[in-house]
Amino acid sequence: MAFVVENPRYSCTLGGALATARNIYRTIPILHAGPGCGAQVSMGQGAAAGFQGVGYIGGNAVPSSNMYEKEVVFGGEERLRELIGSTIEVMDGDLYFVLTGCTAGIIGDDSESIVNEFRKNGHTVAHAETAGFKGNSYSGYEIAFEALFDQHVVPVAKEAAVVNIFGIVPYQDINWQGNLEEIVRLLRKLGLKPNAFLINREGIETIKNSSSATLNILISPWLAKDLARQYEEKYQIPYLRFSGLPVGPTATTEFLKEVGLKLSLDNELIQSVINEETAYVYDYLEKSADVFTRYRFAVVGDTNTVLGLSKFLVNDYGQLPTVAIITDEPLEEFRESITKELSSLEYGLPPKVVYSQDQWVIRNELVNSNATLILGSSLDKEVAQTLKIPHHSVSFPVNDRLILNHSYAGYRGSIALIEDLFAPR
Amino acid sequence: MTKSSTAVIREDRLGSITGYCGTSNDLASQSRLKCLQNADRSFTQAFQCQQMTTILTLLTIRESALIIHAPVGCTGCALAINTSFRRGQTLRGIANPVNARWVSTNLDEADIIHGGEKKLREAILSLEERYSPKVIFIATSCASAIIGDDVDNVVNQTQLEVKGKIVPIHCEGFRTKISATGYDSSYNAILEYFLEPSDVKEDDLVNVLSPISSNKLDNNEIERLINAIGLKANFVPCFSSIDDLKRITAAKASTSSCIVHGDYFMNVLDKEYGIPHTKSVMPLGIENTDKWLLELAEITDKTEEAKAFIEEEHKKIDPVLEKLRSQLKDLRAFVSGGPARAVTIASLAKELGFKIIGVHSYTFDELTEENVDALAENQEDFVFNVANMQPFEHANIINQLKPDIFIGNGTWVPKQGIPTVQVLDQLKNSLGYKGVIETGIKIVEALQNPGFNIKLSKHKKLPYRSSWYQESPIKYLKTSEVD
Repeated sequence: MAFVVENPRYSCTLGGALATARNIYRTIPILHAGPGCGAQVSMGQGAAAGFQGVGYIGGNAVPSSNMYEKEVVFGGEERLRELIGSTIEVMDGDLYFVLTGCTAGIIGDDSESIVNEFRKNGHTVAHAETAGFKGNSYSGYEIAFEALFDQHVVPVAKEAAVVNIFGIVPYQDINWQGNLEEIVRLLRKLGLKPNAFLINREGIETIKNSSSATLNILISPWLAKDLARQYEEKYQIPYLRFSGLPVGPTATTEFLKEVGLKLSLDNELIQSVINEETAYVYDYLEKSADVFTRYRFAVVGDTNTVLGLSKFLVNDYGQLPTVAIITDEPLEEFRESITKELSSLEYGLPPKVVYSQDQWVIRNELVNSNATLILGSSLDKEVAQTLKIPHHSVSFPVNDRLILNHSYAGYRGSIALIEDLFAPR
Repeated sequence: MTKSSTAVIREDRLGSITGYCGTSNDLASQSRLKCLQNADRSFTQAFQCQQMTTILTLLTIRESALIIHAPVGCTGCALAINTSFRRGQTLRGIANPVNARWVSTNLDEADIIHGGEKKLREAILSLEERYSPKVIFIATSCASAIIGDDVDNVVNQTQLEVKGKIVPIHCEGFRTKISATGYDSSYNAILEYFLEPSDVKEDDLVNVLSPISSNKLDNNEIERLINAIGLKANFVPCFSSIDDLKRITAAKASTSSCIVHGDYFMNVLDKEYGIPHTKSVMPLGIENTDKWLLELAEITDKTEEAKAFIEEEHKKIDPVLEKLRSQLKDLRAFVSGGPARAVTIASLAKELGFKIIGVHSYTFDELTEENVDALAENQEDFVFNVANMQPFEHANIINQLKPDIFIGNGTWVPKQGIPTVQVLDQLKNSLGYKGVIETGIKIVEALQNPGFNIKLSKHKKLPYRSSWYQESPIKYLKTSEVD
């Protein structure tokens, strides 16, 4: 986060927090921020991830204090108080979530106290300090959930079947909705009741009751470290990390087995789900064999996508890795194990693993690889065209197609991936 | 020494306002009497700042790179502009479009405390090393300005080490409520850093100041009209090269595809370089296109050519127009857009035979006044809402007025079940004579199948309480307190 970056592939903390907050059902985010923040992070998140629209709330409908010179000089607390009050009157929501921007952070507005005034009056509110300069979309996602944990999660009776899913960040994972849906579908088949929080009309009530879970599933080798620890300490909910997005039969089978084992689920049930799903996906993989093509692929994207696609393409689909470029800046302490995973694929030589999100560095790596296919963001299409090799968009940002519930996750997602790869754009 | 590119904010230069709700006649008369007061709002929604406007003006200039001196969130709009940039290149016949070059100084907590000047210098030097661009623009941010980074000083010191011209634009969002001020700052930068008196005068050259919202098809139409009267067009600044920018001072005249975008700079060119310009109208609608072309012809001695051409064009489009008029008779429309576009589209109503019952314009100032006057003369008094987006306000108004069609940005209104026509359509004409026909056809077709919006509105609603629709739309306009 400390470096100058060409063509950044994420938004700021506020961007990630807003992306998270507004996708919690019937949550009205309230920005205490500069006049351009709402628009900038809307364009820099949803719209940039395959033109995903604003849905219920987003873009220029998000209440925002639009801090001008007056607020910069004299403070914006009065403005915020006025805005929260008027927002509750006008906007229809179950939770009003105040997120602060750089300006409020620098001048030191005490947004928390203002929000507490409304809390005392019985309104369902939340507050998080999400000044953009604090980090990127990923820290925004974490801070948003940590704030909700702190301010809203309450002790409730444990329910054996309930599990919470964290780690898939809206828009940064371009297929976040489809991916969460597929994971939820599979976990339900195991008899579980998964909380994904960002889909299926799950709102503040789901968050409040998330302490009922018996397991937190973190789909990411590095994200949500502190959040998981907090759930563990306060509510004795252990966590299971799955490294990367589970894509394809081998990885998804592993995922279901790990979850099943951790929760001591019935082995026969787990195996029957695995058998059924595996049979389904091979019905289609079989039909793709006629037009099978082998590529030397380069993959550029967030950790989950790079791990998930690399594992499927090499372990299940006969492709050869060249370079794997991870762009979401995973915490240092986790990088060695991520690199090790990418170096322990079942076939072929291990790819070169690079951690960078700078366009210049990425381009040079791609040019110097001997890839015949680039799987990356739409920013990487330029180099693919220069090298005259096919390109398909698999990671943020995407501007060459509309993404709604598309997914590469799980068993079914691998079928969609193969279809998309056949006609690389 | 760095030259200053900071423009006077439009609130001060033009008296631009962002808060009003009333009627067209009332607005026009208040404006004429110069007693129009701005109003703040106690409930506000997010919209665009002047930094964004600066970025979208400068990012598509070829042979340049842009440093966004800010935390990383301020680069959000660059991704969207890059999409337009790539599409624009394809439309201009470039087989392998390149990405725009932008860099974020990624100001983090440490930089906020200790300052970000070192990173700014690093960004400049790294761009020089990577691309050696002819120009390196720097856009500042709320954060960089509040912490007091001395951008000009960094530029002074680093310019000696760098071949490309470093051009800082002070465009921090908090300085103005009128994001169009960003256009003025960008043009100031172009003026200060690139323009000199030209040795060569091109008597048939017209500068066309064109924002990114004016798409290639619109530019093609404008060029067709300019060529038809024996002139050549120099489209600036979007997609232009540095040489195109320098060529500005060689031109015989200037015009703009959007008066709000180009007004400031055209006046400056007139004053500093004696280049006359078209004054008040944007070529949207037949009458406006006629007026615009005649005005351009007058300042370039091409009046006869223009008159003949206009007659020919009218002969061609009148039959098509007749047909469209018969299909759009008695239609009640609500129009929304930037001040130039919103008001001129409304004048299109007269030509296509439908009625304006409401206009929402992002801002209003003396530039728009004349057009509103003309509009008010031709239409019955209609609702006029001035708001920097603030969709909650016109959602209320639209709920009351229930127009037959909404012409504007289609994010929210579809959920009110009303047929919508996108105005800023990257893939269709909206300007010139062709634009009138295209827009008319778009409206007719939206009415032929309004099914998507109708059914959508049965399943989805806007995020406002139903009580909001019972309130007055000006409930949150603070008319007594002004900043």
